[in-house]
Amino acid sequence: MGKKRRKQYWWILGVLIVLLAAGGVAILLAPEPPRHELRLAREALNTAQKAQAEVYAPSVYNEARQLYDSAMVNWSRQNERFFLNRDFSQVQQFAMLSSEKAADAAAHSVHQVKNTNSQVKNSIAELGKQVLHYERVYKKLPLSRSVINEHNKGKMKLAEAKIADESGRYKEAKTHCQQAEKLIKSSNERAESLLKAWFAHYPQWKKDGAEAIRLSKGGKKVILVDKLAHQCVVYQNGKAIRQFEAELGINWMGDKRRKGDKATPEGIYRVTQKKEGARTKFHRALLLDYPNDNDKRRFAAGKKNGSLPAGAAIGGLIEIHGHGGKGVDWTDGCIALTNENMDALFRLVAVGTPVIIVGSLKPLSEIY
Amino acid sequence: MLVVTAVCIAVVFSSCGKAPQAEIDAANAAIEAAKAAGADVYVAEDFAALQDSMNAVNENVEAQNAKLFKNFSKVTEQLVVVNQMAVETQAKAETRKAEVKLEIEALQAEVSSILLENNDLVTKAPKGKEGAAALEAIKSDISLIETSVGEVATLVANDNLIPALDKVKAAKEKAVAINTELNEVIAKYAKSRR
Repeated sequence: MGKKRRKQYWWILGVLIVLLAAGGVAILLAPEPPRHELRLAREALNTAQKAQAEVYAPSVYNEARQLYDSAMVNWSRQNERFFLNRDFSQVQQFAMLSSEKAADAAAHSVHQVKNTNSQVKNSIAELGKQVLHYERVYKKLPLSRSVINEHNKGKMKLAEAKIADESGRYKEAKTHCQQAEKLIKSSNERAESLLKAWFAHYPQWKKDGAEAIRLSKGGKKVILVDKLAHQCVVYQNGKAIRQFEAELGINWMGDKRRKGDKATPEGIYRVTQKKEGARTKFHRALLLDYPNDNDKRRFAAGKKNGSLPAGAAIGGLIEIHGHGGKGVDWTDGCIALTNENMDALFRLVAVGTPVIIVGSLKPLSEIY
Repeated sequence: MLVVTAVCIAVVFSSCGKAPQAEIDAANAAIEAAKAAGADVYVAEDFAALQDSMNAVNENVEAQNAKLFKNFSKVTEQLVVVNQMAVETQAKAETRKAEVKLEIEALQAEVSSILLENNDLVTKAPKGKEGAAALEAIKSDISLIETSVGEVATLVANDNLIPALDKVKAAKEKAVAINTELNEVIAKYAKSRR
């Protein structure tokens, strides 16, 4: 009996040793998960994230992340299987692909950041120029409120773009720039088209300007007002002898068409009265003969063709007067000088002095 | 006897270690809480590091799951660290967010005060026949800033603090520019009246 039992134990021990040996071999042969590849993928994703790939290369970055997630899910799935039946080849494939995509995303993002940054900087500089152009050429023009609002909104967006750019948020800055560009471009274009329409009268202004110089050649004093330049110049013997800064009617761009349009008229006029003391509330004034025959003809034609309302009046009392120097165009259509300059002009000219008012002496090409 | 041996071997081979699921769930919840507090926006680098740490932990969990003799004690230790990181990141995000909010509030107050001053200056500027058009343009500018300040309040209410900060900074810049312009016009006007 003892011998039989001993034999049995030897058998069990043998089986146990065989099983353990088999287990050991199985462990050695069991497939290893691709930990190294997964770590590399994770590090590559981390690098891509630091390179702002989520913002600047979102599709490639998301693809890389999804591949990493797929690798992890697949690994977990393989772990549920019997250890000898596990197959980590797909996990490895996903991890390696994730690494590649993450590296692509990082490189793409670095490139995009650089590109966007340079685009934003260029755009800010270009829009800055356009704003300056508006301020230089159009700001002083009596534009409609919607044009002014559009320009101001554009400027505000540009300020937001600059702030986002300074904070390194180039993508947001780019969006602000795009919005600013739309507004600034539109306001500039609208202002430009108004200016161009007004400058259709330039040939006449040029002629009137030459006429002023011609008239002054015999020693006579002639006043020439350049509305765009806001200058009131006294000519004598073909030369400018005095020059004053002038302020005009609120809607000075364009010829005066009727009473109340707050426009400063354009054409050839004469001083009909010199007023001072109680005769004027604007320090001193030179009354002009507005409306002249041309104005009357144009007014009648406007009424006839319906471009002026039937009840419209032609207006009058256009003067060169004092109380100017406010830095804004504020009159109802008159030309305002500082009191000091008005005194000088008042002394220089007499009743009958020609006053020639033009839109601009410079062509549009010189204004831009 | 053979059966007993087989069962023992099976138990040994299948192992007895279990992943610390409760700790994993707690760490994920802490990361979500940090994100909800705006960590991905206000402390983006810290949040990225936190996510990376959690991914590393997940890899270690699977590495242990792949083993015959599982040992999650290191993973549990790592989860404690991740949890702590999440709490700190959330706190940092909340602090930064509060700072941004305070900055916005201060700027809003500043803009409001400049706008009040500007509205007052408008009443002192040349008006009526004298400068009405220019004032209209300035008034339209002021109303644009007021609209912008209203938009800032909406952005703040919607928790969009960074765009709100940009907007209020731009509004301040514009308000200051108008203030300068008005003061210059008034000074010039006063000079011309002397």
